[in-house]
Amino acid sequence: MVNQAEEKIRELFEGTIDFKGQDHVESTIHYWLIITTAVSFVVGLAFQDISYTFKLFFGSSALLALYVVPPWPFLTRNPVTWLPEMPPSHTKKSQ
Amino acid sequence: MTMHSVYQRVNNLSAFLSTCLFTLAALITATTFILQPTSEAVSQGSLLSVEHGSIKSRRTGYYGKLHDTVDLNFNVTADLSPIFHWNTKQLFVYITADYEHNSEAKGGRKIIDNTVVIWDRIIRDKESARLNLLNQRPKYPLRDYSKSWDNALPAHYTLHYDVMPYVGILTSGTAGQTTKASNFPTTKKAKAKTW
Repeated sequence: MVNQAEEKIRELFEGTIDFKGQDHVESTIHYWLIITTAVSFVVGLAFQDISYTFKLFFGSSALLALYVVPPWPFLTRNPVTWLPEMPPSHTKKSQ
Repeated sequence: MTMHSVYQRVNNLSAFLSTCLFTLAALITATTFILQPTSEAVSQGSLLSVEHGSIKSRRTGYYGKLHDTVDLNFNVTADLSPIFHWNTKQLFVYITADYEHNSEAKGGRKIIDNTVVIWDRIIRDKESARLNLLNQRPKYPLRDYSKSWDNALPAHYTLHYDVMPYVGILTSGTAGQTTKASNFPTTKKAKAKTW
């Protein structure tokens, strides 16, 4: 029983997600941060106020972290389907 | 790059975030070169006039030694508000007295480029950047390294500014200069006592 609890805690801290989820996370991070940089730069330049730029940038990055870092259910929808177990093979070579 | 665990996702996110932040800083610095006016543009319409008073002997400096200090008052009118764009954090403005020594007559060397700061101020916003000061006394006493003014040629006064950006390179310029030089008053030396 204790082992099961340990396993659960370990899983929680590792927060593993499946491979489709990993692809999604990687492209989301790239697109989101590039767009955030561009938008925060333009907004600050237009209003001539640099605090807008950095507030937008870090606020947007915090939202991204919230979306990407925790192992949400929508990132674990496609677990790897392993092949069924093979019967044990013969270790001795037949002469 | 794998995004297997929480740690790896945080790591990847912060790495790309740092790259984007650095790019943003470079972009902001680039706009500064376009938005910031030149010294010539800022000096348009600025006036600086200085009147020398008498010389008094005062104790100044860290060691409290006696120096001959020149009393003066100055008027300055300058509009530095065009320098305030989105990347300007604050301006440091200061007025210097620039003069030369001439001790050739006494067999000494002519020393050039004495520069003494007599007044400074930190300006943090656009409204305060419109300077209009009359009959100001200097903030720091006008004293000479040699402690006397006998060999000093007439002085010009210049208004300088240093621009401190939020992100980027520290730049400086001048925003005005006196048009006519101010003579230093002659000191009457008391006779040296001989025993």
